[in-house]
Amino acid sequence: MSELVVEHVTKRYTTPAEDLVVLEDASLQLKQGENAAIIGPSGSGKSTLLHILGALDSPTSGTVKLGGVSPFGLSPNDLADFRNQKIGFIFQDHHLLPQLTVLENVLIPVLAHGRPKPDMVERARELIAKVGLQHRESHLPSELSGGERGRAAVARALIHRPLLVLADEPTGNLDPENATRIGELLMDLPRSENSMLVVVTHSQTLASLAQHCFRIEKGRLISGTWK
Amino acid sequence: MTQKSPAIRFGLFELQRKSFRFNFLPNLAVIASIAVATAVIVGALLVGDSVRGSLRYQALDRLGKIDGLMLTRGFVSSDSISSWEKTIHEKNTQTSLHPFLLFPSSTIEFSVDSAVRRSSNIIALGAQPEFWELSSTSPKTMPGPDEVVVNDELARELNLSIGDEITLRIPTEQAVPADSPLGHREGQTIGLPRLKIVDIIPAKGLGRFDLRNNQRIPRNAFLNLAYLQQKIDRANKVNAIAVSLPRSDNSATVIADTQTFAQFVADFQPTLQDMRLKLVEPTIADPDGKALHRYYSLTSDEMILEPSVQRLLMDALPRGTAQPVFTYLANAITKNGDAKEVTYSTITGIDSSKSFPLTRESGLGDNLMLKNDQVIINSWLAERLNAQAGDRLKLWYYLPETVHGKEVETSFEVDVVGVAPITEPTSPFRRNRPAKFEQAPTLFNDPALTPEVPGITDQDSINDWETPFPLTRTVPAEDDRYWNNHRLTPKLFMSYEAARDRFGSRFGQATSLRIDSSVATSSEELEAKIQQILQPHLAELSFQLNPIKAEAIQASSGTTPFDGLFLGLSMLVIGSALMLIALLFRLSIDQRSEQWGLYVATGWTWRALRNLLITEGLSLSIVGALLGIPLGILYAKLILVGLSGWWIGAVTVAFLEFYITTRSLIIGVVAGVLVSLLAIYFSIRALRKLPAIELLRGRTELVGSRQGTRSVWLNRISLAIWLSGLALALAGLTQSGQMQAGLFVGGGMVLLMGAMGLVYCRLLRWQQGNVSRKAKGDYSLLSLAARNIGRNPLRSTLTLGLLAVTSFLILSLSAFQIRPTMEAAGGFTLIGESSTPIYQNLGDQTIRRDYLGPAADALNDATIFAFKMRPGDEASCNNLYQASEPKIVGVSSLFAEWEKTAPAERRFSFMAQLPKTEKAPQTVWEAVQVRASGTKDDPLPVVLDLNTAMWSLHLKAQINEVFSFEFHDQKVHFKTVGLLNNSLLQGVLLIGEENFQQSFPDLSGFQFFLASEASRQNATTPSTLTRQQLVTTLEKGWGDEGLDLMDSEKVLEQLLAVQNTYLKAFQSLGALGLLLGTLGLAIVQIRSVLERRSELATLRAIGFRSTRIGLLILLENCLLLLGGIMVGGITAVVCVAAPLLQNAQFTELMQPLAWVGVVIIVGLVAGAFAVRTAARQPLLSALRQR
Repeated sequence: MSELVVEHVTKRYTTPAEDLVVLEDASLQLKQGENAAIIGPSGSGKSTLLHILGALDSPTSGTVKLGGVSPFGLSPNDLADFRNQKIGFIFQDHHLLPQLTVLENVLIPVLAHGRPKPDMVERARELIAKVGLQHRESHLPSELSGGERGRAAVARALIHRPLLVLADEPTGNLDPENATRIGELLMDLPRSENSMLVVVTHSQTLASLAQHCFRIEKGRLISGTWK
Repeated sequence: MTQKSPAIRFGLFELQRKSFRFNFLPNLAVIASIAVATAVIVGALLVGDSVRGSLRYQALDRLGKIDGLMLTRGFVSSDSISSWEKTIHEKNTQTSLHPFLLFPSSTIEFSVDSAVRRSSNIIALGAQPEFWELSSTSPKTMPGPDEVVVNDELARELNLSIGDEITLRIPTEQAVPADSPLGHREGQTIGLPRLKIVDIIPAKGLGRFDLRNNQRIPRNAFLNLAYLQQKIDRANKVNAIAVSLPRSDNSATVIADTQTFAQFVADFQPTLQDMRLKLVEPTIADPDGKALHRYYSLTSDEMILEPSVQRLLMDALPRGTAQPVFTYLANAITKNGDAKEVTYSTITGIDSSKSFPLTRESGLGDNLMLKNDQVIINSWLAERLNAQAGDRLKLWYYLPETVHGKEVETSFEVDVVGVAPITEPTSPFRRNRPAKFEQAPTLFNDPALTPEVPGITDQDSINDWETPFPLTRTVPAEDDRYWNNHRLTPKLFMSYEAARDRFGSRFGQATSLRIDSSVATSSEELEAKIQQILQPHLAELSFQLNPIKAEAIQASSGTTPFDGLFLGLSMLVIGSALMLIALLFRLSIDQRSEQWGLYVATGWTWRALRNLLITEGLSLSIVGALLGIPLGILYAKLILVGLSGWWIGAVTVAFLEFYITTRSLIIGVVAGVLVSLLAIYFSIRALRKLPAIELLRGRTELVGSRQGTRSVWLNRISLAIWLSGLALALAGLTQSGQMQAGLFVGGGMVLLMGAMGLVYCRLLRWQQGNVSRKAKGDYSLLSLAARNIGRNPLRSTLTLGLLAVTSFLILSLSAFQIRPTMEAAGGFTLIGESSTPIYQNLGDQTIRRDYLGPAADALNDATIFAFKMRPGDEASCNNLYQASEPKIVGVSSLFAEWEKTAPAERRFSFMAQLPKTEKAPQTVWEAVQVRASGTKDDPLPVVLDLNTAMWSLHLKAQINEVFSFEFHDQKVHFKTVGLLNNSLLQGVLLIGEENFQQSFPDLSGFQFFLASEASRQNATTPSTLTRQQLVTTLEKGWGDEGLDLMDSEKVLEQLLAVQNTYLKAFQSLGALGLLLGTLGLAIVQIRSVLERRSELATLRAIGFRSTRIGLLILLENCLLLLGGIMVGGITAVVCVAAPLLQNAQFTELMQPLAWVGVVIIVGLVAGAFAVRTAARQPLLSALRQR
């Protein structure tokens, strides 16, 4: 069974003034279909952990394995493929390309390997429908509300049926109503796709929806709550 | 069941297309800068097209429909040409021959109010009206007798109008070479006074007919052919034949090569007279008229047979039937120990043979070979000197070639081995009748052994001889009596070899060919036979039909690749445009950094991302490059306007028309796309190193600890680079000329690289907040501005660097403007040429006194050198055509000696020369005197000006470099022994005088002159002679020969104008680049304001006034603008301080300073725009964005 295993991960930055430990000895484990929320104050190391899990950043020490594969030993091209196929990202600012429609934005990860095949277009449309944006498929991001943009980002993250979906403050810029809708979507949709989800958030509400909840303080992942 | 999804068009192309539309404005800026870069490249290539096109048009236009041209050494009869044309017409009815008279080195005088205006090197042409059928233009009134038509260039120069009367002086044909003692050295022109101008034609078509390839417009005078023939006493004869090939339309572009014309020449049958040969059948008969001795004698109008004629006939005629004869003039013959002198005798070198049994008839036995010091004298001389076999004689004679324009007498001794009998006539020679004999004359009673020399052989007395040298010896009555009785009958015989060795010269090795009577039954038959033998070798006898049009077109490909040149000169504009492309593309990337982050985060590889960006860049480049075409055309036209006005010094005369070729457009566009892509590639390269999270955060530059460590190293490396640049610039102090300029500019560029590295490091430190303690406490607006420009170190460094490099080049190049110096002119204040050779050595005061009389006394102090010259193509930067037969100048050993003693500042300075060794000659001018044959293995030592070598002849400009040129049919190899430095002697190949004479034996006299009113030795003592006095005296004395002296300084200025103009052009175009850089700065500033609008809004929200914010932005602008110019300026000062210390002249500094001033103003105005943009940003929306 595919799982996420994080063991003793530490991230340290060297600055002219001092060595800065952003993350220290963090460990966690998730199984397929499980989800987890990481909460903590600003600057506690939440995003750093998320970036390490998404192979966007590498740990100073410790190991991260997704589906039995440690991404940090991969070549740049294999790492790109790993991210493309195994990981889905949802950003706080959504990062939708303003020049593309919702459908095209959802297909962006597919474009990394060439023109999308009809089955992928079909999959994108299904996901758009699942997030409730079928009527907005041909709209540009500028024509969407904040919540709609968030949902489009969720659809994009799931296009390749990733093992792991990572969400960085996905409801941070949303009103409570939209935040709740996105939160529910986040918790349900990856599970229905059999993906694991790690969400970093300040929102206790969103965190409460997750199966696991971790808290980071001063770089230490100090507790894990099983719901 | 799922419904089938409708297909969508979405791939990389759609992504690109949508991105292009979405980022239209930033893309437009990138496209505009690509268009500018392409325009400059296309424009430069079109300038090349225009120069080549204009040169080609000129070449075709000035020759009209003339495709081939035969210039003969002598005059050819029209009958020969008619029969030639008839033969050609039988094979090809279309080709036409147009005979005419051509004198390309004539002089015209025009008297106005007792003052004479003179113009030399005029092309005088005598032609029939049909000649103008070959031209696109023709005179409205054809010239008749005493009439002339001139072209407007000549009319402009002498201020001539229709109805004016002018005097035309044309060079006459030289019978005997002037450099031989019997050759005449004065009065070599015929004056045609009071020629009335009946028409002035435009210098178009044959109105600008010229043999030389030069963009300068020739000055031509056209006369009636028959009239001119009559005036030069050459009725029905011409010296030039134009060949016009058949053409389907009226075009002038029929090109034929040498081989095609060689086939035409095969049909030409010139007579012996056309070939300047004369065949006679001397007969020695007894008193009853019965022939005792009969043979044929072939002589030349030039007194000496051309060596090729001698060789060809000796080889072709049956062995032993033709023998060379060399008859010479002995000034005096004495018997050793005896004072009695026999004056002015002809002596002959001829071997004893069956047909001329010299030794047998002298009682010595059959056909004995005389040794070199053995002679047989005739019975008259034996009696006159009381000499007999065993006696020793001394003979005085002139060397066969004049030395420095003067005949030199020398002597040799011989032993008499026999006496040849001659019979005394009963009645002497009369002008029109030979001597009469009562007793049978002998074999030796033969005046035909001596060729006829007009003015000598036709006189009644030796005292009447018209010799070019004074008859210093008193001619005794006995000698004159001999002249009356025997005329040219030789008094002494020696072996042919002995005579050839003593009297042979570059002009030839025999005076006649004695051909046995058995070879032909009549002289007509022999003439036909000789014609047949010589016909296949007409080219060797100067009957060569030159593919003049093909040669002109070849030469029109030009010496200077103007496309490359203007690409180089536009380097700064291209560089600025490329930096602008990189800057703007980078800006566009920076703005979309989150997109790139997203791509990376979603699994795009760096390669896929790079390809995406490159494809985007390619699309922009193609669009930009295509838009660059019309801009390029505009740019080329602007440069052509420049070359017709501001930069006319680069092309000498305004002649350029706009030409365009598809090839240039394609090359320009492709080059534009490629260089733009390169710039784009460099601008995106840094993205690879950026982690996706940084990109997602909107960062496009690495900030952090690694960067910090790197900046320390970068700082050290930059400092090392800066110090190396300084070392290079200082090393320039020890060099001179181009090496020095190279070190200064190269050092400057390295200094700038170092400086840019240091600036980048400083900005990086600011970006990282690592400011100095002093700066930490400084919270001024200036400090804030400085920190702001440190926010994007790369962008700021690129902007600052662009301004620094351009301002450095613009300012520093001012120091390399070249001014004429005394050294460059070798201390000579005048340089000149004559239309026709001057046979007197002007450098010799005795000769000047002989020629000018008391007027020469004023020139006692003057330094004058006369040089032999082979006229040819000017190989200086002033001639844009390729020099196919460059001008050659023969430098005498006298000049070499003179140069040795001259003070250093009055000697020609060399850029490079042969290293001095114990064995090798001491100076370059001495090295040039070393005898050589001009073959590949034994090339002629030559001195060249460096510019001539590099730019006109396209040589490597190295010492000992061997190169060759074909002069008609003769290939001459040269070896460089000295390279002059920006000298007055640009455009010519300088070889030793003896080598000159040997390589170009048919050229006599002097045609190139250097002069100074001051004596070299007493240069410091003011001379009483003024320059004008010197010019007037010499030009008046040798006006007939068209002597034209020019001020060295003016000539040098004109020569140096080419380089100086290029420097100016580079500076002006550089300034354009600087302006472009300033615009780039403005764009960067405005974009920076837009990027920071929320931040600026915050400042306004917390109480900053708009003016203060404006001041902040203006300060940022000024820091970059003035910082860049200051860094460039300081570097320029560091580099050019050296030439300034070495007294290099800082001319024309005002213009580049003015350019920099303009740039500062434009930069500040651009800054004002940025301020305005900031002020216009709505406060609330900007704050919301934050």
